[in-house]
Amino acid sequence: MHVQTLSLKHFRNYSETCIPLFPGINVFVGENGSGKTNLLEALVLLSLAKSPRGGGDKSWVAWGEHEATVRGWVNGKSTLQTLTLTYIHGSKQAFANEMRIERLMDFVGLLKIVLFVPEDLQIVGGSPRFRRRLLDTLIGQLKPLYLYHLNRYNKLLVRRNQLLKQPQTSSELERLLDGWDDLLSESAAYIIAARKSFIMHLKTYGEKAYGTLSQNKETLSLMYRAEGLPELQEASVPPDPLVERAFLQQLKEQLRQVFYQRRELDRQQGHTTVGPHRDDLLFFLNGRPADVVASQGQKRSIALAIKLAEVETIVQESGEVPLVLLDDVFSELDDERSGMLVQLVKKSEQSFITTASFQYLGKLKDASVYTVTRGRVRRVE
Amino acid sequence: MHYPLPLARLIEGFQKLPGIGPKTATRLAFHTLKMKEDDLRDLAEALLSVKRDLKTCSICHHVTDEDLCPICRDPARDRSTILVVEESKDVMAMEKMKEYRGLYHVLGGVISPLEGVGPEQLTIKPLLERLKDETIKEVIIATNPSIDGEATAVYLSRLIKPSGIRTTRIAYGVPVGGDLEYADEVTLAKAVEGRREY
Ligand SMILES: Nc1ncnc2c1ncn2[C@@H]1O[C@H](COP(=O)(O)OP(=O)(O)O)[C@@H](O)[C@H]1O
Ligand SMILES: [Mg+2]
Ligand SMILES: [Zn+2]
Repeated sequence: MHVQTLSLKHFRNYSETCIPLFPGINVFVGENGSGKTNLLEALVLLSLAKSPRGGGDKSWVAWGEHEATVRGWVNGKSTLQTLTLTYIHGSKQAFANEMRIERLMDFVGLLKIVLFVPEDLQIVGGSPRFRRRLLDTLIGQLKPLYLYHLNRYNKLLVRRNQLLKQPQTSSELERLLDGWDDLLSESAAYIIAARKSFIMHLKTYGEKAYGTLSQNKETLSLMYRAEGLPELQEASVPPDPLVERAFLQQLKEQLRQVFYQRRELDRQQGHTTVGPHRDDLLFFLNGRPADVVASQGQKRSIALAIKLAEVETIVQESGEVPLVLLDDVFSELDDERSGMLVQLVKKSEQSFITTASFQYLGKLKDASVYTVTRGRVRRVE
Repeated sequence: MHYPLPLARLIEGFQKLPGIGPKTATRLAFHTLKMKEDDLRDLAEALLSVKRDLKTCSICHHVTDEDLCPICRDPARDRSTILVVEESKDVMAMEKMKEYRGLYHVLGGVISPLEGVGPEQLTIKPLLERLKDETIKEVIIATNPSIDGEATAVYLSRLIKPSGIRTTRIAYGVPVGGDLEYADEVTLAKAVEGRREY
């Protein structure tokens, strides 16, 4: 896919801007604080309806304004659509071809992206949060129902935790918790099944990419660790677990039991200690845990391989080539690895790269280059 | 601005209604000044009577002006089925569709841990009492597809199951909403202050 035009109104430090964009490589060059990352953020918003920076929706409205709009003209394989995300009256609204999309889950993923920021280089060894987020962002773009279950799961979890904090227990309370655990395990089963199935894709493509990066000196593999369900780690999942009702049903039943068994412990802890919000994605090099055995360089290669695998997964699952967004990552990589990144970027239909220095532009021939200065974007001919 | 006391009282009264701000309240108050005395008396009487004459049906808890609501009194209704809804307005919405011929039960809300609403604040006990009647063969749960509505439905069906009465749930599609919420931030942020990062 590619975005032809990006238009911004009262977005971050952009008052009103319309930027023509081109297929291939687009580079934003500018000093720190000029607004380069803001441009990538705008593209992420059109894809995920959520800022990768956190901080709530109001945070991307220009200071002193009450409304903001991000709009893109997006070319898909067989579609041309305008996607719009507006912040208005205190909440956000999404539109495709000027038609309001009531459920954000139907908007997320119309534009497909893979985002690569410096923090992604800590995917091995960093917080499990990063890794869950990677999975959630990837799957959310491809499976609307995944977003539904994530939301539902989060809401149920808050309520379960509230029930666990009740000062005294009673059979009444236990029965209430039974009801909540029923629903919770249903959504948890969907989330875990989806993650396991997508990890299989990531594993296939990631292994290949890592093999190339390391000249086949080591093999990379991936595994899903479900808290409280060690047997699930080895268990194979059906090719498409999300349509296998028997598989989902069985997983739900296992989860329901785990939630039940943990109830007492959870009560002592004051929150739910098991479920997909505690799970993790594990990396192995030659069968050994990568967070322990991998060198700094190897960890970076794994991060790179996973990004390549994300792109490939989206291509295979949706038939669309995602935008590749790279925020200041070249400066973090050595020559060999940035060479790999250039390969990735050259293969994608459209990519966006931010950098503070012209120094990295040498490798990016034929790129469209833009300078960014205090919320103004100019194409360099 | 200083209004004469009777007018000021009326403006203040209108403002207690939902969706009516000072501007609309003032406009309504000045409009009533122009109304005929008879119409005003009817209106005042109607306002008083909703509170005075309306109560909830002693069987199904739907609003009514008599001890039993017209639905519970109607001999043509199918007495083997009970449709459980959150509020009286849901009964009215259902009746408009003219598809359902059984009886109702109005819960008076949903169980909500965050709002502090438990089963005892709803008409769940009276519902269980009703189910002792052997003519009842099926309970259809039609709470809203919100999180609390769903959970209340599951709670009820678990409660009713041992009685052997068939329990079903009206199927809804996936409801409005569905933002990209990562599976941790809301929940963990609230629950784990100071704990080991997982
Ligand atoms: N809501 C906002 N309204 C106006 N300006 C903002 C807002 N949020 C951030 N900024 C400004 O945006 C700039 C940061 O832009 P960013 O894209 O992160 O810079 P960089 O080019 O270094 O990537 C800063 O100058 C900051 O003051
Ligand atoms: Mg930046
Ligand atoms: Zn009645």
